[in-house]
Amino acid sequence: MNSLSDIFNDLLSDTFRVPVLLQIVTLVLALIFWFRLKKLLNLENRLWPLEKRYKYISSFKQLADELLLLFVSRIFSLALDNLTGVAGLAFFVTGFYGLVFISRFLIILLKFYAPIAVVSRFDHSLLRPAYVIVGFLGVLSQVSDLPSLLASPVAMIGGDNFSFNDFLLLLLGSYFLVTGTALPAWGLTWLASNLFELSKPAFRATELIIRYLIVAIGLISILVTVGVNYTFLAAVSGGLSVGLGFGLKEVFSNFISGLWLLIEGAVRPGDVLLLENGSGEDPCEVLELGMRATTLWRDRDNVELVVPNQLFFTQQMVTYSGVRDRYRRGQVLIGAAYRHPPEQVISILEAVAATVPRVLAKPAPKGLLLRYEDSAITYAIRYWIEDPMNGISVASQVGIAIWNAFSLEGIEIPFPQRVLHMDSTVSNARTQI
Amino acid sequence: MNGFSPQRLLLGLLPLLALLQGCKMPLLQEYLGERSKPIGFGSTINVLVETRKGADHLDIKLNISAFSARIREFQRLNPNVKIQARFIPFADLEREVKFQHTRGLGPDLILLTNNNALPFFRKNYIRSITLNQFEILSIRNSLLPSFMHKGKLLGIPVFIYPQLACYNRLRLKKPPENLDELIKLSQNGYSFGIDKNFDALQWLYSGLGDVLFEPKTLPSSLAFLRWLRLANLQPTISFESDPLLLRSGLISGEFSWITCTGAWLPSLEIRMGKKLGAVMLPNMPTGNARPFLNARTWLFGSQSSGRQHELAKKFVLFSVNIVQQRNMALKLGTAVPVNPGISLPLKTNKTLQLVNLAAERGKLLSLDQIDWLYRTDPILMPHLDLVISGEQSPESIAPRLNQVLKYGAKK
Repeated sequence: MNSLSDIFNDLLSDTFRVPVLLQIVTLVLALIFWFRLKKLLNLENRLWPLEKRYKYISSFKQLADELLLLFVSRIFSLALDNLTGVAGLAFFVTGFYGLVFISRFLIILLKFYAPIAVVSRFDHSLLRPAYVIVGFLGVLSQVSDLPSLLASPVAMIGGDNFSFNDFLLLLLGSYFLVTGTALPAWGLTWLASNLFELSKPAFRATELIIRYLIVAIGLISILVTVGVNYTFLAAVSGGLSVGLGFGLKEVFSNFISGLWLLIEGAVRPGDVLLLENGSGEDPCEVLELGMRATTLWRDRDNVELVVPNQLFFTQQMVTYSGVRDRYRRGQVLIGAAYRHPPEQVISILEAVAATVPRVLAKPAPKGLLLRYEDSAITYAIRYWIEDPMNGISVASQVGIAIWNAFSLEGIEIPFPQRVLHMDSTVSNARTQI
Repeated sequence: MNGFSPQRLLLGLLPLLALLQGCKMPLLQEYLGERSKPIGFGSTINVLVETRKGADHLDIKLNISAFSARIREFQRLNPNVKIQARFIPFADLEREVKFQHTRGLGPDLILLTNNNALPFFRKNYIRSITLNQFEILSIRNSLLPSFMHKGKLLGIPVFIYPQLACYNRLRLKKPPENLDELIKLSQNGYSFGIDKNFDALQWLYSGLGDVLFEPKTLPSSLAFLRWLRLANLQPTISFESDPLLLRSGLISGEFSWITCTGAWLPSLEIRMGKKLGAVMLPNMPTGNARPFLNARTWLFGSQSSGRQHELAKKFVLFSVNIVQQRNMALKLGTAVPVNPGISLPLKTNKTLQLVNLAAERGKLLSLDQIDWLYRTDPILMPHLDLVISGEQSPESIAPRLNQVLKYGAKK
């Protein structure tokens, strides 16, 4: 039975065998040849036929040099195989590179159809680590008895023997479950959304619930496959209960709050809400409902706020995207001189607000006379907008439009004026001022 | 998944696993232990050990144990040499050798269960070996021709395993001494299991007066086929192509008597205890049965570096030196050593006496003959099956069988 040190020593011993050296030299020669050829052909920088018409071509162009390397190394390996009959390692290297190449191709293709953020996360968190692991295990399978190595005992936990295989499954399985389920969860949600016509926030909530379900079922399956006995699990659960009672109480509370929020649907990704403290008048959009905390995005300064899930249970929130609809009502206050008839001012305000692009026609903007002030009558123009995040910018646009309209119509916007009377008997009054 | 970073989860799992109760890490301990050993550069040799056809789990375990003891003994004297051994089922061996060879990582040594080295030599998987005048003294002169091909020594034998008969002492008080007794006992209700692979049936073939490996003589298979037919008409005689079925049948009591080899005896003894009996194969009308002998044979890989080849040779010569051969022969008790300088306690050890006598009566095939036999076996089997199953008469099959068995013509 091989151990890791045996494999390492074995590898050292075998590296200087002539057939192994020949394969290494062949691959190095292929690399040099490819490098020259790449410079000569300049495939990635030149304009390809029909490139301007089809966006796919320019996207896949970045793979041209990689494809060239694959061809060159494969041809060199085939030549070596024909000459000596010994090119298995070279074929393995080119085969593995081919696998990586195909996955790069698929990633580019996926980016046309699925959200880029999801695909990128899938690529970086799942595919790339998978290349490393598959590559490492692949090399081991070439130079040693991988099944024996995987079956060898690596640890004894709770009276159970765990093989290298179990350990890998536990460690990598958990990792890939957590990182790699985003894309399948998105796919399933996409199907569900086509079936049930889910709204955007419902889509994101469903996606998260599906993802948590996959992770939970997967983790349980891994534990069952590895063969962790129930006594041991009970012991771990006991330990965790003590931990929950002390240090992990908050974490657990936040986790349960997050799950509750998802199920209840009170706060869902995509919702726009105002927290009671902290963010002032600016609403925030819910980006992600995590297991411990929720990430909010604030438009004003483009910051992300990480708010513990528990907070949504203990604090009152204002949401613009609740059960009824996502519309937000905005309001601009304006003063007009007493000499202008209120009907005229109100009709101008309503007409002006209706011309602002992001103001909804239905419900129609509504002008109101609010108060008689000292120097002006205060009016309000109230209107509805579709995206609650645009409150400030639409208010600004409406304000500008009103100013322009009032100027055009000769409506005065009065403001308090102070008149200073200079007393000529005081000789140095001017100087004093 | 905010707050649930997968990378952190991964890092968190490691210490958690280690901290949990009663945690031991044998692989890590082994690795750290191994690191303290000084291993010279290029001092690792890879050995592929073929496990015998029909070997069960216990057999393989015993085999590994015996082989590991030999490696430990060698490494005690040669601490700078590392030997990596893998046990491969006989059906997978050639594929495994090919896999390693095409990567330039072919084994340094192959330990076969017989001397069928030519298929490996033809594919350039192995190389010939030269022994000096002192080294060659470790192997009986009479054995060496069976390992030569065109003047080159292709393998080195290490132990000889003869073909025997194993029986259940509780069920069968007196095992059959000849073929007639075998038929009579079967008619009395005793069950017999016979390996129907042609290489294992050769004791019957030659014992019934047929001639094999005579290029100038056309074989006559009629007597052999008639006996097969006669035996198969007995309800308690079974022909099995899988040796594992014979062994398990003897252990379970399905068979009272089976054809076996010395290599099976250790595991059968553990399973059956004192119920196990071993005797010579039944005598033939022409005299004693002369089965083929199987020789555990070392082959040397063609891709080894110079140092690896030297170390491999050193290990092989260590396994045939007089002390090792004697110790192993006494420990196994079921194999005949190849070193001529050993005297074994034959008078006191009945099993050793038996295997020694069987080895003397048996025949070790040459490389060409065993190669031919193994290539011919799959062609022969359908013909034998037709006779055994009663679909065809021995008279109709004999000419076809004789044509297949024309040794000179096939070569």
